[in-house]
Amino acid sequence: MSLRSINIFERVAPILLIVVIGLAFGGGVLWQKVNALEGNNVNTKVATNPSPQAAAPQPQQPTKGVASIDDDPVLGNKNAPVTIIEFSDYECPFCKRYFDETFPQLKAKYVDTGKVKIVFRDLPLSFHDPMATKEAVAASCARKQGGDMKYFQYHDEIFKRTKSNGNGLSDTDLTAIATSVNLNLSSFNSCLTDPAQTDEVKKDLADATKAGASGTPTFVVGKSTSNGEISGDLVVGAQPFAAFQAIIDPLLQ
Amino acid sequence: MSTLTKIMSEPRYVLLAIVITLLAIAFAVWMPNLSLVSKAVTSPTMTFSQRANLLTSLLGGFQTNFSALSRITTIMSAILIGTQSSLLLYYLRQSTQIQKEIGVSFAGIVTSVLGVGCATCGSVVLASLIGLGATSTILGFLPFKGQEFSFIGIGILLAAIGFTIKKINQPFNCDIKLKSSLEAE
Repeated sequence: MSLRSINIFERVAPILLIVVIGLAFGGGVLWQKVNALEGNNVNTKVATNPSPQAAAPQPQQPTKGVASIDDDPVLGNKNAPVTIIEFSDYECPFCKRYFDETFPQLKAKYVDTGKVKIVFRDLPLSFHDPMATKEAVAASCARKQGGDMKYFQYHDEIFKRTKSNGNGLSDTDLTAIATSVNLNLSSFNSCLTDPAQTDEVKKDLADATKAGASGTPTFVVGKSTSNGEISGDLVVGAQPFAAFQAIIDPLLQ
Repeated sequence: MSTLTKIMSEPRYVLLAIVITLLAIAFAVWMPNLSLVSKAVTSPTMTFSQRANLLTSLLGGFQTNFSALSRITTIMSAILIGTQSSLLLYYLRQSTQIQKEIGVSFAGIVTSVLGVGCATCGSVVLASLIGLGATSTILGFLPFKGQEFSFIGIGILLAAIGFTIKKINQPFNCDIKLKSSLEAE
């Protein structure tokens, strides 16, 4: 190689290095988009007995998440213009962190003012079971007795008390929470063993996978619709309140 | 170590290392939400302030979406990637030859990325490759739930830095032909 070409290379090399890194970043973005497209056609293998009603709508754009509010519990004004569907695991430490740090601000600024409604759907991860699924079922059983309000009372108590990572709560703790939110214990305990409750959790899990959830918590944030199918931004992880604000505010304009 | 100190005392290599370190940290934080990042960059309807808001607010995930251990390994990986990039550039300018150390560096970066993806309960990268159910199963067997990939990535990057320094310290010279081969010619 001649001296002149070496000098040219010396000048170009730093720029080439940064371009390569940028291309790698862009490649990662394209990879995500391709996987989102392919994910529409992948049958979930997570649910062992998927409900026939669990078919999720296809995303309209590859970077969006699409999920249904289904028949799951709703926090806030049911006619709110923006919907957040939260796929969560009661034993996930990041779901708990979101509950502790971000959720109170979201609730105060958007839910309590009628601008946003939050729909909670279950996504228990296998390495947090059996307690993750048990807690999801227990919260559903609370809803069976007292509706969405009772559901979220129970939901809040789980997140306040659990230490997460699958070892947070015991069966005795679940009963103690039921007592603290004034549930009928006899009905509650018989509901815990009802297979229909576990099937509901599995349906949520299947829908989460089809919506593009790759971990917990995962959120679909979009404008509310009459049929309950939300096509919106897929937000993965325990993001700060500012991130949700940056996504919600343009939707409210 | 003296080679590393000598190279990293030059302002241009320090600057490059810092830039790449910061880019690596930002990428790690943004990775679970690359679709949102690409939307902020490419959306024709978002204003500049909305784009800036979204990108900067997602960086706050470094606090909320990472465990303490994840933060430490991410910063370590990013610093090593920045350092290795500067060393590689120095070496490339010396020799203009791409050696296998680049492949080792790349392996270290990729392995670290697998671990960084475990910021949420799951691994964004693994789930993209093999699906959420399989990812949950695999991570369930690992004591640190996927953080092991970060540790392995850091180890590979340290090895790559060592290899690169060794190559930098090797003198450039011509091979000496043996007398017998000269006589044969």
